[in-house]
Amino acid sequence: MAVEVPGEIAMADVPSSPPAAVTVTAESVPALPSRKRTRHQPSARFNLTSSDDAPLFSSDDFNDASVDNYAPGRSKRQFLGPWWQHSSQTVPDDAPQPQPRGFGRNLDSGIFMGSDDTVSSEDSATSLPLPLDLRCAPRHYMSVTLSEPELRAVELIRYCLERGEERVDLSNYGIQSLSNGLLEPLHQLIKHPRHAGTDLPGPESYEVLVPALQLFLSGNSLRSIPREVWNFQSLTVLSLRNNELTELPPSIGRLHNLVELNVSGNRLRWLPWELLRLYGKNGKLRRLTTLPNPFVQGLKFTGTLQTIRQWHFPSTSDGLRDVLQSLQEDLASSTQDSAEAIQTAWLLKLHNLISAEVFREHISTSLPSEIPHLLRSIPSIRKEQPLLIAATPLSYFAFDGSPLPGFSPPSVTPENVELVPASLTLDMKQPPSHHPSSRAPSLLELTLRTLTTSSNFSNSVTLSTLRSYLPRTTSPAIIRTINLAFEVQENGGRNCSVCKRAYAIPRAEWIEYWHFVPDGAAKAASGEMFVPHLRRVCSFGCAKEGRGAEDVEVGER
Amino acid sequence: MTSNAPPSGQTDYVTLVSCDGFEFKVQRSSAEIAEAIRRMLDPRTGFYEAIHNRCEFSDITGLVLEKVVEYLYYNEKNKDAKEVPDMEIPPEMTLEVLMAADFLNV
Ligand SMILES: [Zn+2]
Repeated sequence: MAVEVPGEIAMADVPSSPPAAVTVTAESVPALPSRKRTRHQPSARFNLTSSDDAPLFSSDDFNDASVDNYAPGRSKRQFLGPWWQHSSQTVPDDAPQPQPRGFGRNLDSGIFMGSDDTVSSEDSATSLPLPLDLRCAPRHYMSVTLSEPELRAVELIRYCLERGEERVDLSNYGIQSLSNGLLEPLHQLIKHPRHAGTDLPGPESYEVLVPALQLFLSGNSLRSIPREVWNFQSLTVLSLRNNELTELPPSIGRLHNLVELNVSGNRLRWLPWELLRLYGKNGKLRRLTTLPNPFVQGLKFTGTLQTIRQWHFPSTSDGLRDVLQSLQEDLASSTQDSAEAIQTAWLLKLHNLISAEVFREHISTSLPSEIPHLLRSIPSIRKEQPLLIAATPLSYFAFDGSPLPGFSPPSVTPENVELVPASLTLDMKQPPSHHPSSRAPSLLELTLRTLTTSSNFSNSVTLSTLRSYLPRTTSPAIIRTINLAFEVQENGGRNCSVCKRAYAIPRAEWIEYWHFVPDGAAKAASGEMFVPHLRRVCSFGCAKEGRGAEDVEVGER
Repeated sequence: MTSNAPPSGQTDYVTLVSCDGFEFKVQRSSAEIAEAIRRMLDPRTGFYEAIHNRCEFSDITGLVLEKVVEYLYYNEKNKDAKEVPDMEIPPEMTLEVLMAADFLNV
């Protein structure tokens, strides 16, 4: 067997040299057979004597590959695989046949006793290592076979790099998926000085050469965005319009310089909570286009936009007072818990928050005696600050990411359900746990962090190799969780929205409905009034702290 | 334990035994963080484990069980901590610990 890089093209040079990449790739595609990784069957044992895999191995950083372990007489049994993989094959012929191993869940045992003696304690007490190729695959190998549209995208990127073109328009390229790393070269985009010719350079030539990158990916069929995009600090405009996105990763909150974002025409049911940090006075985002998207709604809207006068925001303090008064009257006269009453209550809270906001603004800038006059005219009634209106109940997850009994997390809401009710009061239900406010990660979480983020593993353990080493008895919830952990890592990882630490398995989540209309737009469509933002936390303790916190100062890891 | 109770009395410490015979005495409150252990030790079940305050794991080696025990104490110790340090898991043990975590529900 050749180097174990099935279907993978060594793209090591792509990031630094896009033009070369096109050539290399184009020529390599037909040359390398594309095939699936099939070598590791669940029952396969890890056999170091096979020389096939040698090129990918590096035993240097491998503790157990010390000279001692190669001492004669000890044989290679120490390397035969982890304990759950021990099968009769790995045992010398003269040893008794072992019982098949695997995790059973029959807890009414009492018959856990009598561990079979096929595994000597010497072997078991030795750390049985992972197969080497899980640990040492070269980091820069990328599993890519570029599609035709992707090749054209690479062309365009090269062109933009050569010209110092900040506007990278990959709209309507027919791209179904973009390989991770393909857009990476844009990191190196350098704005070219405008000055050309032999004239003396004018002042405009000395402007900063930091690019203001604009990336247009609209009109493709993308289901995910390459993770490097979330690290483009210079990105100011991002259009993901008309794709097949079902969720935006929390790492989008890292794009601090984003001024314009368009995510309309996707399959988004909510936005990541982390996006909030780009709004308001702390962020630069001024144009946000979210509709249409099948967002969940926290309430059932009644009436039409035209008939509800409260949609139209008053521009004077008198107008605001009138609206507040009429909303209060409406609320008093409507049947309790009716759709009308709920809608009125939400609007009332919104207008109360707005007036508090406006009032606070004027308090801080003027003498109290001047306030009534100043409030007669409110130039921009909403100060573009997102306002938290309502939230769904807290939902907790078990150690393996499955919902705890009695909770139905918003993220598993079926696609045909639009209404995910929320309440204006942010209640707090304690999790059924020994340590309801603990922030300690689960043991499973710790292992997944090691698997997906440690320097030994990152970019080298692939999901398929990992899964091939798991025994058949592994619970489906764990498999699902592992899949998810890798998927999240693929998308740039995620951090707890409260403690900011990187984590794999959320332990609680809820949706917050925020009101935010950028650019001081005079009115909003009903679907934009209260936009769902999904918030996830790493622990029960973080849920307790994050619940109801209106502070969106979310830092970086 | 008093004479009318053993061996079914609940002790403050329980014994976790690995498949290769390593024994770990662990505080009951810490051990029961793992849901599977808590169920095994539940006196209402009349399980062998509950009667003898002893859990034997035919699929977990001493080395991995040691890590599990370390975790149980780590969890107990940090239950009220605001900043919880990550517990180290050696890369070569990750898969085994992962399977044990799955088995023990922890
Ligand atoms: Zn947290």
